[in-house]
Amino acid sequence: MTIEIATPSPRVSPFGRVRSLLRRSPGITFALIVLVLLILGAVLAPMLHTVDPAQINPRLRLRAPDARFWLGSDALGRDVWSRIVFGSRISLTVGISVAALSLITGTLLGLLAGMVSWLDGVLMRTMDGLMAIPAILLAIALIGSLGANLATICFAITLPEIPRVARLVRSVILTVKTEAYVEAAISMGTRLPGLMWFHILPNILAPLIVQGTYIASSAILIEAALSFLGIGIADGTPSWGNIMADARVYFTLAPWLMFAPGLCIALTVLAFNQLGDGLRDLLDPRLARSVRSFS
Amino acid sequence: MTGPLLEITGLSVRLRETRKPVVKCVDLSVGRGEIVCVVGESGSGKSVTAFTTMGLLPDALEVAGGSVLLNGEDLLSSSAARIRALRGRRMAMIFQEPMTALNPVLTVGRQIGEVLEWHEPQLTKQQVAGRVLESLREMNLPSPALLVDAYPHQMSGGQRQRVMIAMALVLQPDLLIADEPTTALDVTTQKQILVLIKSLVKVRNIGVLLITHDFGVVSEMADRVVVMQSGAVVESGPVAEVLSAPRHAYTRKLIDSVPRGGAVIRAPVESEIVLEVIGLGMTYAESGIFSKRRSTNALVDVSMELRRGEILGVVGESGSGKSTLARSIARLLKPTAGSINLHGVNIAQMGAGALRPHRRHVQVVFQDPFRSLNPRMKVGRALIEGAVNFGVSPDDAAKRVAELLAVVGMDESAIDRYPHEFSGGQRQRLCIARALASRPDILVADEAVSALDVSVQSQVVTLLGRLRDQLGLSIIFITHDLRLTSQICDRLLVMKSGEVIEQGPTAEIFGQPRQEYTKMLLASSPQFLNRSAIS
Repeated sequence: MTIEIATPSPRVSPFGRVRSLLRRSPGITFALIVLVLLILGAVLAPMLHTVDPAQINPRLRLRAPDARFWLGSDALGRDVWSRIVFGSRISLTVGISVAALSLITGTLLGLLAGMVSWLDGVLMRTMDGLMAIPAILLAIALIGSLGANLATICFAITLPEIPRVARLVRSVILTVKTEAYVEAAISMGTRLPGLMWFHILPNILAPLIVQGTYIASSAILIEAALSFLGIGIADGTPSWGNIMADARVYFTLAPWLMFAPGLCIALTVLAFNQLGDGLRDLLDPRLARSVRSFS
Repeated sequence: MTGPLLEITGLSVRLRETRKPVVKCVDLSVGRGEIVCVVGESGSGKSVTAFTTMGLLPDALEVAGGSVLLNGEDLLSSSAARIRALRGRRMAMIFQEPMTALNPVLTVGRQIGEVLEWHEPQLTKQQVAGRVLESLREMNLPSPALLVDAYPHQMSGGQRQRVMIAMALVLQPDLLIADEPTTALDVTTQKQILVLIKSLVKVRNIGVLLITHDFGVVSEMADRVVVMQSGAVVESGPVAEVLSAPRHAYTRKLIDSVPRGGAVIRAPVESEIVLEVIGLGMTYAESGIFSKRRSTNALVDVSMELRRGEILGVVGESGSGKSTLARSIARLLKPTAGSINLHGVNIAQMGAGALRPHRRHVQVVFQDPFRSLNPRMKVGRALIEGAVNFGVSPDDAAKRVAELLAVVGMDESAIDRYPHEFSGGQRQRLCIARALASRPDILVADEAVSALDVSVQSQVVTLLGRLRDQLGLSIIFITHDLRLTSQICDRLLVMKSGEVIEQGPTAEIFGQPRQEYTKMLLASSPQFLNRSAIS
């Protein structure tokens, strides 16, 4: 079919658009519910029938779930419910800050590589080198040398994600750069920063946002893995990974200890991935156009 | 002839979700050995009608009523399996874009062979190969024996479209549906494809439903015409009748928008020269580490001049170097030889910094209106960018936006909208407005109307002519379609393989073309050549 000739399409209010988006993609609805609950839990942690997650009570160890210990108690008699609620703070912080950090740094590097041709080779080969190091090994080495606190862990997980974002950004730029509107802007005398900020960046945002959700979910998994291995956040601060690590030894005695944090990790990762899938469908202009051209 | 081959009665199609009708109560029929053209602008429902017939309706649409009979068999009530069997055997379809309709990783021979293997499994390998070769030969393709092993990207657009037709006809269907089969092609190639379809109708006695937006094509091809507007048939009848005495206002509008041959004679423009190109050359060097150095000459010793208030048409087929010339003048490319004197300053080899102040004088309007506006930038913002870049304050630039929109015939309400809210023709107007924002002397329109419907083309061409008259703008109008140049161009430049082979006043080139190539270009344009014979 040739190009549509019509009056400007009627405008849809942002609210109406969000509503129709949610109806069309149940995945996003699920993801949003889970993530909102998680964020509420992390913010309101002290008010949700919780006690101090570090409080030890040796007399009440390895209790099965009951009215006092909603999810049982661990080997030191600490309340698992409280530990999981407080642990969500770690997971969410790691997920969101790693996604934000790697997106910002990676986008900057990708923009430079895509737009400034003499930087392209140097930057991209550095990124290739960085990608050759396994993420977990790099994280272990960094945490080993810098000490295990939240900031180092975020940095250690961010570093291997940067090249992925940079490469994505660069590859998208290579196609966007040849679009006629970019050439038009060049012939209108727009300088490089304006070109990047107004013409390139807004048009590569969609794949970036999607990539961000995937990075968040993988960061949560890596943090849990590091804690599980005993090289993440120290035992004093609960995180889903170290709750599972503690529970591992008592798996035959108190299997419920492992299920709850495991389920939390799985649900959170699933929610972020669903959000990513949903956003990818929604932000894909081709999809949007095919819906519009028949309406 | 017993009954029509295809008979569509009262067909209605609507959107599944909102039940908004897309096609309303359409009646049409196609007999054997007959070409029926369905004409209308984009969005008139002509493609949807074709897709319904083929059983290829997108999920968002559903049939609301009516019947589609092929050889008396009702297609709408047939099972999916039956439709699949009929597709290819009894009816076949070819599409607008031959590149995307072919599988890029399979050879042409394999793709045609596959169709045969699916539908006629009893054939031996030799028989399939024989049939494939024969079908390519029938399409007048050069050296079909070699083409069998070629991949789609190794062929030209016209060759690919012929392969598509070969594939569609290999099972000897009775009905061929062609959805804008030549819209994406050069005029010369279009002519060849149309001649081919016409001869196939004669030889095979098949029926063709040809969908087009171009009444020029209709007058060359059709036995009968069906004119559609917003989903409904507004007029139909034998081509001679509709062309000579159109009853509906919309039909008249479509017919009038087809550019007529015969150029308007214009007084030569005597004003000062704003742009002078001398001996321009562009060589693309391909230097691989492993392969031998190869070079392609996109431009060879091109010289031209452009005066204030003059429209210079640059005509040629794709690959003739006309786009390279445009991009060199706008300095989106750096030419490898020659000079480009803009107001007496040679900008051909300038670096980015020195070039910037000169960029203001030359602005470009590109071919594809869907890719030439930043989809994430509001129109108002896009229209001040150029002026602000060249030192106008944002407030002053914003004040001019309404004026710019008025110049291109757009409403002021466009300022707050995003590009996707506009149609192709409207976007092209916005692109012109954006180009005018920095008050250029020269506008380069690189195939600026080729992607538009014929009726919209004429509006944009008229607009360009008006801009020359009102603003004294010089315009380089690049096109493969000579018809479009006749009304507005003062002079023409005919290009072939990177060289200028002929130039002169438009009326002269239309009247006495010296080069064979120019004559061929002129002859290829679909026009009402046989109009006198009709009326």
